[in-house]
Amino acid sequence: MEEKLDLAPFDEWIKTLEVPEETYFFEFDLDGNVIALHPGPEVDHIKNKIQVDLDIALAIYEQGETLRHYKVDVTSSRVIKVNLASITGLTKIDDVLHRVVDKKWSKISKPDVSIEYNKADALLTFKINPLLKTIEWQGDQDMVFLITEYNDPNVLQEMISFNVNELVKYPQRINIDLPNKFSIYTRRLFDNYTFEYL
Amino acid sequence: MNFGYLIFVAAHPDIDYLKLAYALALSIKNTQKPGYDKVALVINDRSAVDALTSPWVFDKVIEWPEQKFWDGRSWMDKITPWEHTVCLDADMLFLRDYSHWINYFVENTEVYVVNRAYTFRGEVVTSDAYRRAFTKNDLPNLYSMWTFFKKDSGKEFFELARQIFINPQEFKNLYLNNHIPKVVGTDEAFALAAKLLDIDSEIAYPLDFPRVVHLKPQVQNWPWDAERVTDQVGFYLKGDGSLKIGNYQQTDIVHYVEKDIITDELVSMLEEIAWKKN
Repeated sequence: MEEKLDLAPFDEWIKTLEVPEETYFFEFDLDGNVIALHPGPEVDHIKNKIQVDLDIALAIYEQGETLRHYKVDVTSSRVIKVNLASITGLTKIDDVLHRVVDKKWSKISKPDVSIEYNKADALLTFKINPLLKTIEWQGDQDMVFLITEYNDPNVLQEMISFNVNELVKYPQRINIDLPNKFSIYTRRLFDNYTFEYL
Repeated sequence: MNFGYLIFVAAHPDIDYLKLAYALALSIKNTQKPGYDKVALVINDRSAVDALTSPWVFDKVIEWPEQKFWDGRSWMDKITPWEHTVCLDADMLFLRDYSHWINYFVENTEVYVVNRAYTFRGEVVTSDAYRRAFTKNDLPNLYSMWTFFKKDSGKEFFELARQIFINPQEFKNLYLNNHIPKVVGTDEAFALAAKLLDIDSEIAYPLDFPRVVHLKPQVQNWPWDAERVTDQVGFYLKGDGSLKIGNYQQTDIVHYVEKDIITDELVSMLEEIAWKKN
């Protein structure tokens, strides 16, 4: 004889079903290097882990980013995106000769590198986003900035260079007398640069 | 002389064609002599023009919502308010005075369509990378991006081009079957109409002008494939309105193709020049 199962009707069951939230975690080593990306249910046994946004997980799963694009700041427990050219490669003219956009024309609110020029003091200042300071940069990462005629890198006026590690330690301040209009071009080690004329 | 330029724009979800037309109109005002600097804009909603900082760069604004996107160009002969017209694509910039070209066409022709394009280094474009349908079907190499015509001239040509544009499938099957283009745009419609009417030697005879730099990446004579010209060379518009592409100074009309080249900063530079001049 056929046994009758006491099951809730489908419509009631579907109303009470709770779909677990999709979560992802980075596993990292003591230096903050990301060594794995795990879906949420698989991480109970992992000691060094940090939850990451779904966007980051999808960027790795679907958009070609790698674990090397991220680092964990162990002291502040934050995930940091790493944009060093050694990872992304320099292939386009905008990477090897990137025009630093004037802040008033830019939608970038938190640049990786911000440059300010104080005309009264003739002082050019380069600062790095504090979130990026905790990263130890590997290898020689010279930052070269070309001060050129306005929107024309063919007419070079000054060249300034320093190492990214120097910028990480201190803002770089350079005394230099520049005209009212000029542009700054650079090899693009980071994603976002902005310039502000004070 | 009643001469003017004509630009068509329409709403697009991703591209602000009005901004491109505005930059082009500013560059026309900045470079052309009085009498050769009039611009008429055809747009589906004229209220957007009033929001521009300097809407006066458009001498006439014609509201015409009947065709989408830039397809309205096929009606250029019907819509123009000028006696002598050059219809332009919106994504172009003028860099010096070209009024002597206009004098030639007013005196010598009824209709003229550009049939030669140049790379940013000034070489004649020979590649058919984007024009296989032209070479395979033996169509004259017409570019509708710069089309001169006198009022009420070339009626048969424009009417046939319109019919091709409206009925692309029929004309493709009949006349373009050696290589069927995905889209029959104004270029293809003009070229096929000129061929069918056997007037290409009248409306597209060889001339060394007008010179239009066409910034499509695969026709720049680079020995590699390129997706975007601006991946390979920089686009440097200076405060005086002059333009370098890479390290080549540009003096011809530039058809830049990549719409994001026109930034707010670039528009403000063109506005500043226009304000100083006018």
